[in-house]
Amino acid sequence: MLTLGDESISFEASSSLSDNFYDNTNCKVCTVRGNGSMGVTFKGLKGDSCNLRIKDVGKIKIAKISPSGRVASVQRNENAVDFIVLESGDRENCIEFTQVVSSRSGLIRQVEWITSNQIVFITNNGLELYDVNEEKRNSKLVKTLNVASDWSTCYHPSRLLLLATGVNAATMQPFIIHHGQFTRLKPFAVDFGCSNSKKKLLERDVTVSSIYGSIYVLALRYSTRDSSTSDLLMYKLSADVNQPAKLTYTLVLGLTGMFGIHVIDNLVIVHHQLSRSSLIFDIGLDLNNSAHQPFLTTSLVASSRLCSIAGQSPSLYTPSWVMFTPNVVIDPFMGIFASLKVNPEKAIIEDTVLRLRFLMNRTNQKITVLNELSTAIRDRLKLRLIQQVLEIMVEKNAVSKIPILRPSDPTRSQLLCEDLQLLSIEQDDMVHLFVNIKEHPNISYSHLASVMLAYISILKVREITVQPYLYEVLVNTLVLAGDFLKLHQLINYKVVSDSKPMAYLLVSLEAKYSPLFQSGVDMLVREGATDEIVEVLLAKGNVTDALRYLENHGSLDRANALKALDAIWQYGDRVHKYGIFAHCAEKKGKQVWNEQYEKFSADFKRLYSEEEIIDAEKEVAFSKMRKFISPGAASSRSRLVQEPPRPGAASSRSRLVQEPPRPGAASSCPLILDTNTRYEIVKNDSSLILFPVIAQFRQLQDPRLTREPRVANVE
Amino acid sequence: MSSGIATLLSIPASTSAPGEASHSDLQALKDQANMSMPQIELPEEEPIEESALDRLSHYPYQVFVLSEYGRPIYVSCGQEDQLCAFFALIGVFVNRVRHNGDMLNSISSKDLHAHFLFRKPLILCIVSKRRDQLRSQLEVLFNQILSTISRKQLETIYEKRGDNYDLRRLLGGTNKYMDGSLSSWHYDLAQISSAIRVLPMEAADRNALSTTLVNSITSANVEGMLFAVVLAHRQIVCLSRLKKHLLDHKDLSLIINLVSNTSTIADAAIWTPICLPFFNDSGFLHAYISSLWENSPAHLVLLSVDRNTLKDLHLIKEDFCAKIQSSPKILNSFEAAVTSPQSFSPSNIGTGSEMLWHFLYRNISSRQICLSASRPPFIGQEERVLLTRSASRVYDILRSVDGIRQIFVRNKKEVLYVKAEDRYELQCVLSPFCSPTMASILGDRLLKALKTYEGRYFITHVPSF
Repeated sequence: MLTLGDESISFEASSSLSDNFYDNTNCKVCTVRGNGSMGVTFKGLKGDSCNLRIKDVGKIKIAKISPSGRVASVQRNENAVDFIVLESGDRENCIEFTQVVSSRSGLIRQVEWITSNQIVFITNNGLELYDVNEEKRNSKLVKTLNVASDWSTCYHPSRLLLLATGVNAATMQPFIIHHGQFTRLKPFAVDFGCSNSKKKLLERDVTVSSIYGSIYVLALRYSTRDSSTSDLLMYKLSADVNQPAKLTYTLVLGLTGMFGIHVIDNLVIVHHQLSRSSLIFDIGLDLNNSAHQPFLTTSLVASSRLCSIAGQSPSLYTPSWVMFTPNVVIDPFMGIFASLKVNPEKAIIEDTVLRLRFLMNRTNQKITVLNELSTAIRDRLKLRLIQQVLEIMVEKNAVSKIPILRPSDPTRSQLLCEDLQLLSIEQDDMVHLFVNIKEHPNISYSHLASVMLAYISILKVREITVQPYLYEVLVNTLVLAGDFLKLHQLINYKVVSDSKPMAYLLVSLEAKYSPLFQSGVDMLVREGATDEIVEVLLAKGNVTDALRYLENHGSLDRANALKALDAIWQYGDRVHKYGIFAHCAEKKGKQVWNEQYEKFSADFKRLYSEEEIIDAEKEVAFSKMRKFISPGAASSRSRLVQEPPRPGAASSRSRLVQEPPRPGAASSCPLILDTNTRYEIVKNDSSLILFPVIAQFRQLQDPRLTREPRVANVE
Repeated sequence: MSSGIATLLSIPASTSAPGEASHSDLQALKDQANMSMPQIELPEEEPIEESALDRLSHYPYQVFVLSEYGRPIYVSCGQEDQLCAFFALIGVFVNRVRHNGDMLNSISSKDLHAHFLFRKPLILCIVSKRRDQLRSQLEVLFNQILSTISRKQLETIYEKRGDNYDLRRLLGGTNKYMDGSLSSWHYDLAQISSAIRVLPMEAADRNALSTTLVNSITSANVEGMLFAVVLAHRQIVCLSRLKKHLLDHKDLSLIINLVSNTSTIADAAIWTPICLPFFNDSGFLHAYISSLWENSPAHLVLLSVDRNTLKDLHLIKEDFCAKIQSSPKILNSFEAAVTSPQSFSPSNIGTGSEMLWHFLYRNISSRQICLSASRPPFIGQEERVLLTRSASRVYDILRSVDGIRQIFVRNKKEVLYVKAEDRYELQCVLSPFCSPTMASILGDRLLKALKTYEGRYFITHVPSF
């Protein structure tokens, strides 16, 4: 997962003729040949380079370019820095001007560009801030501060300067340089495992970086006793300048030897030279745990680009490597300047949840996360685990919505850190994911529905409005799963929020599970959608209920009445038509409705013919039932010749008494036995015990019992 | 069952959203009411291969009568002999449970219900797709059998003739009465309400008629004469009785069944022994049944204890006929009542009557019912079957659960309103848009109107001789 050299360039390796410097402000490698007289080259990873030539007036100790790239600073003397104005075109004879340190005894240790025209000299006894004016070709002292230090390191994105002070250089004194001011933060001591063999904290053991939206000072601590307890201490700088930095995390290395530290995408990567491996730490996996073990140990892989520059198999983890944060590796002897890239999707993590959490912490991994999640759901990962993942996901999404508060007062010094890009997976993305899974063959719909429910429940706990289409997908999935009971419950308990489209969806599901129709209509009632209710009821042919509803909520107007009549004429029988029309006619009163109504009216008059009515009156009055067929009269009562009982009769014998004539219905249908003393509901086969008679008869009828061949003794 | 009732009663009385109205338990009742008539006309020529039992499953119901020992006596579809094995099964079911000192009442499953009635020495069994009033049907059928063979005879016959005796020999020719008894449950609301229906007639005319009848009887002074009934269209026109003797409504319905299922009465009088089990189940009365005049739907039934009184009874009838015909007033009113009876029309109750589609009033003490005249929308055969079904269901509910006072059911096609008081039970079928309040108002108005016309629709006084 760690690829070295996706961006890599080669430069002239260090030799007696040339020196190399790393410009941490601009992330460039500077090659100085012949103390500048043979040329100075700044090379960036992108392949951008800048060449100039200066006079050879002494060995160059530090060479840097201003962030704007218009002024180069080189330190040849211990107490002065020369500025070279880089004009476009002629770089052969550049104009130089020199700035000598203001304090008499000051020796320059380090030079850091703060802005394009401000530079700070770190001398052995203080800081000196200068304005560099390239137009006037001079520089002016802005501010000085007396502070003794062993070494310094600068974190440019925050304009943070860290000075190592104290006896063993273990007291860190951070400064923020802002608007020409030095803001002194609270100093703090770094534990580096001070021992006789290691008396001072070295610059190379300290790294400053921004991780998960906070600035950390990372310091390697070598064990005093044995190497196995080496660790990396992470001191978190407080945003409040008055609070000292605090030891927040300890990254346990458990190795000894040379370490190189990179911080990429909030991951702390510790390269170990001896074992040729890289330990990866992600404090985001458990922010509350102060001691972290590497959750992944891997090795660097050379990219094809690096291979093309440095030969087929470039040697990795060589002792000559120099590493700079955030992700730069320089091999001054090979002349290779390369960047390290993390490919989180290639990380091999067995634990699906851990893998998902790891991926969710990375930037720009939304697609990978969604794909992984989709696979996990399809593979029926345990619901509890998926729930964990979803919870983190929703949390991250919620946090990413909170706008980052910028300091209202720009003049005040603030510890600024890099913007944290949180993974933002919206409900839209999840719905898309669920829909995709749903269309996948061979998946468990009920599991998918449970996952959706878990998601919805997490959203609800956080009081996030659930999008209606999520409910729609949930309902559809439950339908596919055939889990109508659950669906019904969800709707009854208002887990699925009301909406008209949802109500229609439920109504349309009636064919699959009839109580849903009622749920849908109830939802429409709650939505107060009178017209829709009437529409739905009419479409179902439930004209009576439609009109009853209209009666209670509003009035029966012409349009509705005609719709109702239309529906009943389509579905209803005569009695039903009569009732509906009579009601409509009564409601109509003396109003004049259109000819369509007249058509129904004419039809209504023809519903019952005069003769029919007279016949019926007579039959009722005379207690007669014309054409009534009694079962006795249906078949002729003439006695047939007695037929021998057929075997078929025996098989259906029990059927008539015990089961409805429909085949297959028997299994779901218990028998109720009622005697003077008992009232029992018996499931089909338990009746064998409860009702010995039935058992006896079944035995008699069972051909396997009666026809069982007797085993005759042959001998 | 009880849960179903509970739901019935808990129907909100106020007008409600459609959501509240429908309920799965209610649905059952609706289905009962809306079910189309499951009468299946069987092909005339039945394929020989089809077994008799497969045939049975096509019927909506089937009634079996057998002896205690499993000997087939009667099956409502006929051809008992083909079903010997099945009869035996029923016998074993009942006897096995009896053997354990218990009594099997019913076996029911989702949509098939079997009820058993053991009346030594007979077993009656009904298997039906509907569950209403099955036991009542068996009891009435047993009474029908008793009317042919008295209980005393029934008890001794197997002792005399052996366990394997075929009772069909004694019952010979009475199958049509048994068929009639069973089929009346499907169209005659009087049978369903186990009451009798009175032919509508003005109270004065009815009194004149019964006075004439009593006069004829007293003038003939026949020894052993017990009851006299004038019937038409399975309804009572008038009746009179010997002092101190009462005619039970169940016996009366046996007589009605006898008369309406005897096709020969139209031409000539018949003279038949009949046992009235609620009067005396050990002996026989002798019934003289005759139409009053040729092709008249009205019949006179005279019951006597003496088998030698045929001639005397004939004379009473002649005398009665002559007296009626001599009085044009009585004759006219009687003929009018018989040929075009004035059924109670719902319009009698005034405004709102168009909502009242049908009603059935049953007086509990006198066991008389009054039925509304037919009006749309219940005109066709199947439409009217809905009414009998619903009545049957309502009675089943009223009998099985105590203390129901009112029932209001909103169905798709109609509204059912039932009011049960100590003195009467009233069932109304109303327009589907009738509110409970309106139904109650209409019911009260109807009761008032019935009270007004009580004399026309009920026999309030039975004269004796």
